[in-house]
Amino acid sequence: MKISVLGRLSIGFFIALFLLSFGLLLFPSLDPTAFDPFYIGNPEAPSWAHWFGTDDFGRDILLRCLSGARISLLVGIVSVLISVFLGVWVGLVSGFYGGWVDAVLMRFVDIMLGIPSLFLILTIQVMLSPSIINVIVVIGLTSWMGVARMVRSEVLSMRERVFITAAFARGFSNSKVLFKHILPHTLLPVIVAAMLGMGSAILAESVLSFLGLGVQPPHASWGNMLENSLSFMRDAPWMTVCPGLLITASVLGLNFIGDDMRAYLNVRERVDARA
Amino acid sequence: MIFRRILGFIPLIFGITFISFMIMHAAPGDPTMMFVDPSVQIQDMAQVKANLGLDKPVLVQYFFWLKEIGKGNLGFSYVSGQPVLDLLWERLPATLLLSVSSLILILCFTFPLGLLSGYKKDSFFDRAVTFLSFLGMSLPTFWLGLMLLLLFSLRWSLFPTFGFIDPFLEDASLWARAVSVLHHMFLPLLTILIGGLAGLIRFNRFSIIEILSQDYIQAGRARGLSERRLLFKHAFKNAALPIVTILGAGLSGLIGGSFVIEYIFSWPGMGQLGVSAVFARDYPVLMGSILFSSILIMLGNFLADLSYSKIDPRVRIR
Amino acid sequence: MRVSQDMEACFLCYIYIMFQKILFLTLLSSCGLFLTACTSEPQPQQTDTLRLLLSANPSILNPILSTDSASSSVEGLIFNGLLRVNEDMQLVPDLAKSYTISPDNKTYTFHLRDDVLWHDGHRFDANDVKFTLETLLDPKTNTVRRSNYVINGKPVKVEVLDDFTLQFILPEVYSPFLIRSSLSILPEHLLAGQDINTATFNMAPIGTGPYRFKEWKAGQHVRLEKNESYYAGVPKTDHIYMPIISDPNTALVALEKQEIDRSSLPVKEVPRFIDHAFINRFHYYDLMYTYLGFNLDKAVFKDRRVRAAIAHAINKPALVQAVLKGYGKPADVPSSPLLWSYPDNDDLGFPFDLDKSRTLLKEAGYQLKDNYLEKDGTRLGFTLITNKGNREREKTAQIIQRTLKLIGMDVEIQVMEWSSFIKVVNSPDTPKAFDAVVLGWSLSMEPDAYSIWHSSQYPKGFNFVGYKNERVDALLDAGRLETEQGKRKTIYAQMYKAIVTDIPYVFLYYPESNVGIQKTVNGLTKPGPAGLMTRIENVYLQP
Repeated sequence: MKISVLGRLSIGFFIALFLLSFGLLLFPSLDPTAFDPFYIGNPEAPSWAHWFGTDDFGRDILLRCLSGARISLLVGIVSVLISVFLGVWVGLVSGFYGGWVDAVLMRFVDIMLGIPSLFLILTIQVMLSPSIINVIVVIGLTSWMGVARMVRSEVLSMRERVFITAAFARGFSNSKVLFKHILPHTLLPVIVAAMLGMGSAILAESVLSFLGLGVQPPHASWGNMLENSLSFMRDAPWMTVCPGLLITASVLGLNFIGDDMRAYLNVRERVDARA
Repeated sequence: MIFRRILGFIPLIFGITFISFMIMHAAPGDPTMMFVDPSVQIQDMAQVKANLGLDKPVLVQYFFWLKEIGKGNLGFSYVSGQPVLDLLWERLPATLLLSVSSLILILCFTFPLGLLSGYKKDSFFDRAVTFLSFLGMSLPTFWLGLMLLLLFSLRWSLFPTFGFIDPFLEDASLWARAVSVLHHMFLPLLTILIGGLAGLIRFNRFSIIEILSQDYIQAGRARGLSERRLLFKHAFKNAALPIVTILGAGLSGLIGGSFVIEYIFSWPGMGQLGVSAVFARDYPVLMGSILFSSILIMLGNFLADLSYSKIDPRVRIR
Repeated sequence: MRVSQDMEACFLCYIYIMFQKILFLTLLSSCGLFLTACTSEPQPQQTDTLRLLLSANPSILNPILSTDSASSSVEGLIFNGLLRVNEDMQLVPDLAKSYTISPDNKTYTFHLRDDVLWHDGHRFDANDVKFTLETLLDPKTNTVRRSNYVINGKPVKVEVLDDFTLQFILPEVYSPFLIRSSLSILPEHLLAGQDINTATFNMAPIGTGPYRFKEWKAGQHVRLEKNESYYAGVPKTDHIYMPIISDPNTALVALEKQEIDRSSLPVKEVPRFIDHAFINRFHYYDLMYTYLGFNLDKAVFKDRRVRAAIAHAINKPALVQAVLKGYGKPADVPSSPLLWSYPDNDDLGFPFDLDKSRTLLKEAGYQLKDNYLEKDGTRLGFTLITNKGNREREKTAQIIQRTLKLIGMDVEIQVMEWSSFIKVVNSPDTPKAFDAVVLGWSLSMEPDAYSIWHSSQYPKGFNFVGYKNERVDALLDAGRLETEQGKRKTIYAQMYKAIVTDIPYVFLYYPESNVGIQKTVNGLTKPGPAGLMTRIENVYLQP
């Protein structure tokens, strides 16, 4: 597999991010939520002591960004796992069994796609009250439809292949064919979709934060730090730099990695928008 | 059969509205809770709830809603008492203007960029386009919007800060009003463009790479057809096909999609209406927006199908 | 794929030309438009239009139905009440010339002005007042204000004596009633016989006020023009333009670009506006207080020592400095320094003293273990909820959380969206599903706070912390029956003292508002919670 320079840089970036953010746990004295409740000044500009400055509570922004990385990446990874899990199941069942099962499931996918996603996310989020877990669940529950369609069309084309018909001819059970032969072949494009999905999930968390429904303080996530920095844009513009850079770099990195994988798999973006 | 296809949309719209209705009513709170201070009495809130029919079971409420829809009545806003249809109608021009012009501009930019980048695969140009379009996609919209506002509007005073049209122009000529609207639209449009270019550029790029490697192109080359003719007769047409589909689906982003931009630039569109309805639990308005956008989505898909069969006669509408 | 060099060049050429064409068509043509727009831009500042920001699209322009602040700021310019609140926080005549109260304190007689016209030229009279009150009392009207005119289950009666004299007859003595007569009056001749909830009037209202409604473009703006026949004189500014700008960051940019004349200023931005070239900055107390309330039905807060320990642990001056950047005042009683009912002795609070907190918690039986307090194996902690959208409260909650961690309490914060938040605190269950809350109460001039403190207002009512004190109940009832201000002040001072001693709330601060107004705007009244434009008809622009 040929990995581009940008892809390599991105992989390096994520490894560094993981090491730093989890390495931080070894130093309990570096508490990113700590501040002096009896004296809170103004945000401080970047200095040697605070490379990216401090926020409105006097907390070090870099430290918060690194610990926020754990939450933001957690949101990205777990919500994508949920959406991939749902999407793969729906797609597999729908494509494999066909008939009315397929019809019902695909109609459901159409319906979910037909409800404007922002309204869907907002209403569910309002219903569940914002916490890290709910942010993850909401993003996961509202983003599985694309994967489902992709897997379904993958399965449909697979069913026609010779080795699948052969497997049936040899008397293999449905589930064996499904899991041993079909599933593995659909996984690679799913992984590519997951990479890109993680990027969107990280962005989705920041938009939820902008609407006030993201990860709640005092926990730091890149999204809520970025949102908080907006109102300080005039007086303390440095507050926006670190979370802004990290969100952009992560989404960018995930896209580069996804792009390389896609080139490797020669998978094209699939369009199956027809209802 | 076109007619059968349209008929097929009806259960879909039914499903969309039913599921949204159920999700909506599962959210805590109701429209009477928006404003609470010690002078408001709980029993008054209960009375208002009863007046609005909110004390009935959800299924009954949904049934009532459907019945009114059947009569062509979208209902009245719980908050303002205005007919939902009027509320949506007021917001339509701004929404359509912003979304249609952004769709057109995206198409205009992505097509040449994608083609060129696919044609010059792995060149510096290709990489620069890839990098920059991905970068645009990776910037959080609300952040980008505010940055542009601070830079273009406050620092350089090039564009107005808010709104849709200069309010003192109602007697002005059509031209002056159009200029004013375009002037106001520039920053929101730019924000949408920066975020929205990447997808289609990548898509075009892949299409062109794939098409250029097809046998018939190679065969055409061998027959000595000019490169221009090859690209624009064959490649172009084949690359255009899937784009139509994508744009059809793109209509769905019309309403909810641009909320953040509408909010930051005070653009009087439907996204703002819908989102404030979520927070105010103004169910009729929310249901109206959802119904409207789901019809748009169906319409988009349908148009995509139609143009599909126009561009490519192999595809027939079933 | 390999392509010969010249072929490639040809293709590129074509693409570039096409690209340029498209660029030309889209960018240049529109940019051209923008440039012409830009050159025509520096508009002479219009002196006949006052531009007042609306922070949201108004919902409904009917003063008895609307509940949002955007609507009421428009309605305030279009409608009048019988009485109004002036800049000194006093009730003064508006549509009424004068009023008398009968010796038994149950009959309020109002003498109305006979020179007031509705914006459509129809004359205002006592029947309009009767109509407004009866509409409000009608259960079919979707209003949350009906109970203001229902006293112990019996509605207030209104009797028209002649065209310009009427009486409100109360079923029993009720001193908070007078403030209710600042209710905006609706025109009977336009609304009688209509469904008030859906009337088109609500989108194009007609009132008696200094400005008449001209246009409302949803999500864009509301426009008003002066009422030439306003009873108190023709307004000095011809038009009012109220653009709708939801994002506060955008609103501030608009103020600094002189696109609007007035905007509130977030505290952290205030320094930039002191000695500003073209913006005056004003500040005044809001009529409100912010507090930390305990759910007294929760086991952990049943012990007064725990509540006292929390009260002593909070450093209010530091909180005011941190959250409000000094634009506010530490609060000790549930009132406001602006009100006549504010007690002379307001030093009833709990001084900041961490050692005292620790001692109190020890007395209550809590032991420190791994930095957290425990009793019978349970960690001392609670969930603190507040509503989303108020940065000051969110910040306050975080500071309280951090402070209480110093004395060993484990506090979790939950910031909830407004409707969900209200659903929790207003639920009819006992105990309610929250531990503690950071919230603020906005006040009116009337000190009667029955719905917050009376034990009958729990669980249904705003006494959601479940506060019960018979003495406070008695004082609340007495305050409603007493009509003389001096005596009421004594009653409420006793009540505040009793409440503060019981610690159902820890009172935190009285916040101040900061407002920036363009220097071109003249004729302002003195700063106060009613704003600086309480006499909007006197406001004029002078570049």
